Amino acid sequence: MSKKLLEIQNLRAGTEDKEILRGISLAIQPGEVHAIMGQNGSGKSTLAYVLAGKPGYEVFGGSVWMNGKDLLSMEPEERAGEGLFLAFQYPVEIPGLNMSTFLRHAVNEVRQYRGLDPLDAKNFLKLVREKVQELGLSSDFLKRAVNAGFSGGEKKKNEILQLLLLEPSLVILDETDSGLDLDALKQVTEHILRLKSPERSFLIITHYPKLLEYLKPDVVHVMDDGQILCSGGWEVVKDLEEHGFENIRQSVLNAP
Amino acid sequence: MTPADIMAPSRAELAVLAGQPSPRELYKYSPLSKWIPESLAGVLHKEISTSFATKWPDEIRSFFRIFDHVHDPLLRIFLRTLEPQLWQEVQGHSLFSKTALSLSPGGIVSGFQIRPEISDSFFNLKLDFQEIEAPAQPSITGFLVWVGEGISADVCLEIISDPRKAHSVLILVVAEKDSRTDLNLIISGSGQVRCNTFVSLAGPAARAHLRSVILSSPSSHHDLHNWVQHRAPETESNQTVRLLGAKDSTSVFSGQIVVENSAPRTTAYQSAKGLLLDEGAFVYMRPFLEIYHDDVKCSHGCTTGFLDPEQLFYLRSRGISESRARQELTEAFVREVFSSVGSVIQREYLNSALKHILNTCM
Ligand SMILES: Nc1ncnc2c1ncn2[C@@H]1O[C@H](COP(=O)(O)OP(=O)(O)OP(=O)(O)O)[C@@H](O)[C@H]1O
Ligand SMILES: [Mg+2]
Repeated sequence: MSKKLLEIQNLRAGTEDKEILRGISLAIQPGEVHAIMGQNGSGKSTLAYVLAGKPGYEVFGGSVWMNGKDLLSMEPEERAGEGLFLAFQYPVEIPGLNMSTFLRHAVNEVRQYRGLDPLDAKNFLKLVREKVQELGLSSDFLKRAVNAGFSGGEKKKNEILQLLLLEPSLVILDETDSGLDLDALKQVTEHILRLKSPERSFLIITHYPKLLEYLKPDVVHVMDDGQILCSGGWEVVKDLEEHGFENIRQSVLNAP
Repeated sequence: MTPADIMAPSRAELAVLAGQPSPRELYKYSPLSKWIPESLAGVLHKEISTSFATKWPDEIRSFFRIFDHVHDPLLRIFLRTLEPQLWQEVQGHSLFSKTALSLSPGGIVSGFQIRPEISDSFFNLKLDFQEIEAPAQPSITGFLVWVGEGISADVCLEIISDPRKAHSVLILVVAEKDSRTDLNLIISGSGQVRCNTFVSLAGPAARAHLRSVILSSPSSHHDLHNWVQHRAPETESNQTVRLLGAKDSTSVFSGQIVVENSAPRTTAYQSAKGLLLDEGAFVYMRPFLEIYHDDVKCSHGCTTGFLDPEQLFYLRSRGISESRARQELTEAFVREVFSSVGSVIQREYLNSALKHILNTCM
């Protein structure tokens, strides 16, 4: 029990004038896969952003520990160095910033944080080209500007590419399975599956059971209005699929 | 009217030279008096009697006539005072030339003529007012770019302002039928420079793309004024401008598009963006459209702001430090201008020139 990778305790956070997360607690052990489901606007992305340290969100109470360190006191880049990775629901476009320049800085700064030597240009390119190919992206992908003019699927694959390169220990996927065609979904799922290891944990935000069928989450949380309504195993996904969200809410509220 | 009549400065222009900006000048945000020092005004008074019509060969006069109705006092001073013998011809570079030709304008008024004879001509030019000797006097440096029928040309001009004195640069472009002109401009330095670009798309299907990056240093004042005129059918113009505001600097862009009644099926685009890097940075932008024909496609957009927090967070969430992220985003902001440059070699040349400036002065 002692070796928790992530521990969120009664986290309350939101924007300056609005509390969005109203007391979230959850703990993830190394190697575990957790899923978060919940209606639009229930606060899933907000949780991911607060964990990643997005400016503009305020923490009103509670604490978050990652590998025994106080996550909330760290800068976003330090969190990445510590091994946290958030695949964004809507990756931002950065016209003018070349993909390979961006990736090289990211990889080498994270390596530096972890006490590793930087990769030289040759080894870096070799590594990146390999991953680009594996993801079925075209070879000029690295010459393009970050996310600028990428299709929805390309943006999601770009998140996976960064995930593969940065080798995080905690992976948060915010609807990475949305907006992908069936082949792309399969490719992305396979990559994520390959990344599963006893040291690496996942927090997967999704609306669809498909990805979860492959990833077999250890725990599924249902989020409602900034709180975790209930948590459980695969039966929660089935329940949601068969009876709908409202039903679960009613049964939780009616429970003694 | 004879050219001499047309070129005589008006009373209002003389008033401008006496230090009062005309109402027309006010929109440009920087009073002309700031740019036209007394010594230049003196030159003008002296030269008023000279007959423009007799000084220049017919051919050059017909070139200038295209700009007859541009009400810009600087242009008039330039045209009236420049001696034909001071007109230097600039030769094109080969595609693979990576170095810029350094220009040294001599005297108060000087001019360079760029007249590509073959297509795919490249002119990589550098005008460094900090390096020019005897910079104590202000100057007007003019470029006459004449792109003939069916010719394509790339002109890249790097201007470095000088803290000791204000300088003015005029670029006059006449684009003939089926020609393509790419004018790439980088202004940097820590002094004052005013650059006026006059482009006339004079022949059918002439195209021009003006890309401009205006960088700044603490207390620099850089002005860019584009004037793009569509005179013939199916002409195309595109202006992309990026202004970077350093601490206590002022950067100005005003861009005017004029579509004459003689120019149906014209397209004209303009996009200007300013990025404020620090407190006390001023970026002024003003688009102007004057359209005298119905069948045209025109659009313009101006925005000014700080670095996008979403972009900043995206980079930082990937482990990139805040200072590096800011640096990369700033560079990306200006680099975007040159992403549409057709030739890879030229694009690399421009980007490395930019990188060099950003590394040394930001
Ligand atoms: N920066 C913000 N400013 C104001 N309101 C915000 C902000 N971020 C989130 N919210 C609000 O908080 C609530 C939760 O938003 P969030 O994006 O976390 O939902 P979500 O569960 O991820 O929804 P979806 O399934 O649609 O992605 C919404 O009502 C949203 O409008
Ligand atoms: Mg969301």
